[in-house]
Amino acid sequence: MIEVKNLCKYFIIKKRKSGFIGSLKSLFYSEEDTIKAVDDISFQIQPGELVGYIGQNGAGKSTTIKMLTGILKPSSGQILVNGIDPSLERSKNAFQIGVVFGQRSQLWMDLPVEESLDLLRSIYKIDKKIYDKKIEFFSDLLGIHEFMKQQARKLSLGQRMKADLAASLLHSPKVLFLDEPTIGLDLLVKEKVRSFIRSINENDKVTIILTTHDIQDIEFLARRIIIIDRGKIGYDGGIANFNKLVGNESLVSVHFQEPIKNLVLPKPYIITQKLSEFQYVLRIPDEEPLSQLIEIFQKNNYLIQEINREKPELGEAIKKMYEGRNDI
Amino acid sequence: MDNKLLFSDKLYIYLRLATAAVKSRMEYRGSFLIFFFVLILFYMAQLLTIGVVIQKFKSIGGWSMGEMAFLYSLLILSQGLVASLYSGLVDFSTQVRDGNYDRILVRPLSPLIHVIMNGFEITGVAHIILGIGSFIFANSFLDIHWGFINISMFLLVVLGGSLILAGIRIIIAAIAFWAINNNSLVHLFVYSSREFLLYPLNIYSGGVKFLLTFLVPLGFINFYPAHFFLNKSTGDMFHPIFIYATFPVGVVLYIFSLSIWKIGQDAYESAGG
Amino acid sequence: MTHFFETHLKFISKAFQRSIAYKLEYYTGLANAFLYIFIFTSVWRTVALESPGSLGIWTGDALVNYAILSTLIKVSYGRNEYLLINKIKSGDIAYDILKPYSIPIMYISDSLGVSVFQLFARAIPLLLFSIFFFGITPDVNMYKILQFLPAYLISFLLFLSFGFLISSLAFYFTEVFSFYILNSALITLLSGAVIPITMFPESFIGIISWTPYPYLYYYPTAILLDMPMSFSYNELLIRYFIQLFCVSSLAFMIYNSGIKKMEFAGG
Repeated sequence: MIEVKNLCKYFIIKKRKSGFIGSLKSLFYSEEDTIKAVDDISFQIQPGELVGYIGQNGAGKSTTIKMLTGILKPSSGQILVNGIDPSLERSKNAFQIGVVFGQRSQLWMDLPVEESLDLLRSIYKIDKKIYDKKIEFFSDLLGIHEFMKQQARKLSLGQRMKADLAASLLHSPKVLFLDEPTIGLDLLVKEKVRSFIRSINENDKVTIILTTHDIQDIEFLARRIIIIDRGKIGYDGGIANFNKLVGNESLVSVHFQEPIKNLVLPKPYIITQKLSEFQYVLRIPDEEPLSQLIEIFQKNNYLIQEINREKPELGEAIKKMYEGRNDI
Repeated sequence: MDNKLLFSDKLYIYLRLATAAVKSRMEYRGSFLIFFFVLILFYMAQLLTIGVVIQKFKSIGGWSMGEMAFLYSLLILSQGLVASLYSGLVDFSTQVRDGNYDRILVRPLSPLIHVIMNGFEITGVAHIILGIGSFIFANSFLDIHWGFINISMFLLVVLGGSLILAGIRIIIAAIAFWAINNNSLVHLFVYSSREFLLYPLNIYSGGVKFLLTFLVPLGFINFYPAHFFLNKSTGDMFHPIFIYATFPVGVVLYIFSLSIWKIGQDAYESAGG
Repeated sequence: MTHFFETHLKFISKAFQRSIAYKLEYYTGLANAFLYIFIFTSVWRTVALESPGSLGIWTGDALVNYAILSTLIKVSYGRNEYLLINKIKSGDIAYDILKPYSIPIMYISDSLGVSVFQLFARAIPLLLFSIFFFGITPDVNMYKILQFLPAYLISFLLFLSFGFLISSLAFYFTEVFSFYILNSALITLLSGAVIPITMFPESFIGIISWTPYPYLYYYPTAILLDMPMSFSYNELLIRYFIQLFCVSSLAFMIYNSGIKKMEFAGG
């Protein structure tokens, strides 16, 4: 279980001046500023949960993850990962966590993948039999046997990500931190990676904390999301509930049989897009049944050819949250 | 699965990491060999430069060609050990900046040893080759009796010299923890400072000798201990006991550098770099 | 035309600002140069005292002046090795070719920016330090300075050509660092940065003067110090042009064939 209590992290940064005169000045002195990257956040993550940790760049997302993995020491507050304080007992914690940094690899770039994995086997003192089984497992689910002998440097992005996932799970960690695991991957590989992540969470009960900008990752994998915004927790709970709270609405696309020059609809329906005189995209509240809308169309003699309702998009909801917050 | 690494486990892991570093090098066999060859050429050019001066002036500061070669061999043998093991620290600042240090921190190993072993440089052997070569060359001019005492002392001096050089590298690398680009410091303290040691320290003014003895104790690597083997008068030294002090100075400096590293690591964990 | 100057002036300014931005590097760079000057002046003073007979036409003071001046020249030359190498390695150079400036001139502009910075921020402070610390008195002879300037300028271009040549090798080799080390080795020995080439045995000096190296630091310093040379000033200038021509032609050849190679590979 991961426990975070009143976690705070402050940074002191030097203000850099720009321009020619500015840079000359900075040769001799510089001003300082305190930034509250993480400002009193608390949450608990139960074993086996898969949590999406969302935030804009600079919101405190990676700072939190760094503290959870022991790379950074909190300014105040407490973190316990299965009873261990990550920054105090870094080595001990290392055995129970796995980390995948989306942009950087764990592998030794100039060596074949199997050598990197074998090195990790020694580093984490993994029993040979267990190790072999794991390699087989990763070969089945991710297909890593196809490029085991390749230099890590020569792998495609998708291959490298698969290898990094395998590398992070070799020592059977209880908690897995995934930072942008699908960034830059093509669709097919993304789906493979997502299925893999879901299966190890469901079958092996690995607790997973996923930070990503890819909303589809979150929608597919997570049931719970924690949104961090300007150092504070903006939301912590289920995705469905979040949509409801933010008042996220579904999008409905309608295809009419006859062209309608000016489609006018009563509230609460809003027309968001007119793709053509035949095709319109509307916004309707989440709980509103389609039947109401269809009745309105019939009353007005708008003959429908096709009508489709799309699930509320989490991305839209998050955008709404940020927009709403700006108004305050 | 065991969640504890024994000392023997760790030793084995570090050895494997060093081997992996060598293997990585070997993947580019061509450029590796060229680099090795060119490195030796570079040091020979350095030697030849001093050689040209000596051949014209017969001695520098009262030190003859054979004695200068002996000075050089002490320096470069100490360098050999350090260049192999501690080269990983030279670009440590870049590692920190690129975020590559973080992935080392999430592993159950000592971060310092991990960084060192990752950067194991087999080309350090070039120094050992040059060192042995210049040692043989020096010996042909000198009259040193290599009995038990002299041999043991020699080994201790080379080891002590290595500890001094390693300690300096660790301290300079640790500066990267404070988010400072230390490349120029590396250049200054790791490479340029050696230039002083190519010549006997008595040619430098008192202030520099003081610096190289008490501040950055490079003098103990070759200048002071050379007096022991060459039976040179210690009149111009701060204290004659210095000729024996290389190993103790090395040990003290090395331990000191480890505490600086620890302080730096703590600062990194506070500031994030 | 003004656009050309504007663009390249921007490059120079950017390089200048970049140099200032690294304040630690600035101070240690100064310390570094000072260190070298100190070591060599110590060596020369020592040998001048011990074996005055072996000096020949060089007096101890002349050697000290030599060490300082040659280091000042060395310090005033700046270039950014990684600029080109990184562009070639990452493939970014493909974009630079499409832009409306010439890469070699961009390289020169960038290097000018660094060098102007180093001239004012390093060479001049070091000169003042040296006058104060080592008590040298610069012999200000207008005629010598006029003779010095062309040599200094061509020598700088030579310095840049070396950099351009080695950087262009990045098209062909993954590891160009070795070439830099090799070049540094030759510079250490033959360029006069450390020892004036007249220290070499007679037979070697002739051979060395046919390599481009002594033209970097030895000859410009020798002109300033009014040291006798085995050929006239005019012959020296001709030799300078020959050396510059050879090295820069080689550099351009490698560069252009590298670009062609890249274009074929669709890089």
